[in-house]
Amino acid sequence: MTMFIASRGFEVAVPPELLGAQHTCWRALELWQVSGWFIATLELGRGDLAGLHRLLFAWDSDVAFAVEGPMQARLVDLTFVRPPAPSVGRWQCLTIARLWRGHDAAQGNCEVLAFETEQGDMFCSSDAVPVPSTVAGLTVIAETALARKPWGTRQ
Amino acid sequence: MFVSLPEFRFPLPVGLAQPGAQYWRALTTTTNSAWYIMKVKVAGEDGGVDLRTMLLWWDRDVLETIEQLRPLSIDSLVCVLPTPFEGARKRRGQTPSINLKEVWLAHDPEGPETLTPLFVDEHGAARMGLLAEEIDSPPSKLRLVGRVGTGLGASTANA
Repeated sequence: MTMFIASRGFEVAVPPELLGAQHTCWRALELWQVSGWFIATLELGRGDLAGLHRLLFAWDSDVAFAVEGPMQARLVDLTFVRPPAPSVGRWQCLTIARLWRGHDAAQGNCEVLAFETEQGDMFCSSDAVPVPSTVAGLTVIAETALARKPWGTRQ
Repeated sequence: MFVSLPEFRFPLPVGLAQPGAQYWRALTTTTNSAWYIMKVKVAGEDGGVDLRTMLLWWDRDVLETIEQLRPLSIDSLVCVLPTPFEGARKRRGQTPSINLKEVWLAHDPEGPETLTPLFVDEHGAARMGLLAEEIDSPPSKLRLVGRVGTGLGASTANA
């Protein structure tokens, strides 16, 4: 379960009128329990925060929450950042086209979030495992601008 | 910079959390400038080896972190170049990343009396600045600070 750790020594003082008193700026973070995580560009359509924002998400469920929850964000782009595996030896940035939700019959019908890459590969969980064959009822809950681009015109 | 969002703070129990640390499930970023992912091995307190992975906003933080941690080795150093928002709107749909191999302290081309970090990527190209842009005429290198695959650089070189 990846999380971002912020330590006081890396806090950057920013006047609260610039970011709001609830927010804190950091120039460095550490990853806790390193597995895959996400970089997302979201478009918020209302309120003071209307416009494009880039977020780092440690959990896949929070990506879904951003587009389905109160934020009602539109997913513009999404990258899965995969830590180096011994066989690969380097970080990988996988471009995601669609976010899917299904249910796994082998796990008590629990909810599963699946990610479709721009090449059409599907994986789930922050360890990027292939979607088990026991997962059924997959439906698209969000797609990026890349997926919305007509077939045959992707770069 | 990375900006923490109150609704995404994770309340890790005191006994599990590092003293003074805050745990977050999500953060936002302030600009589309380059930032860095660095994975290092450092000597652990128990005599073993600890793996640490850091996200660093400024190029100077890469340099300072290497000098402060004095890692046994730098396993990987990646520069993340987020797509400018205009590019995202145009559906380029990807976050480029560059594998870096060396970190140098160099003379700033804008003012040679000032020192600045300079990176060499896996293809041998020199990169520097807010966007880690490839530069054709790199400034003179002063000191190797770190090299991926090894620990702290110790040599002084002029190039």
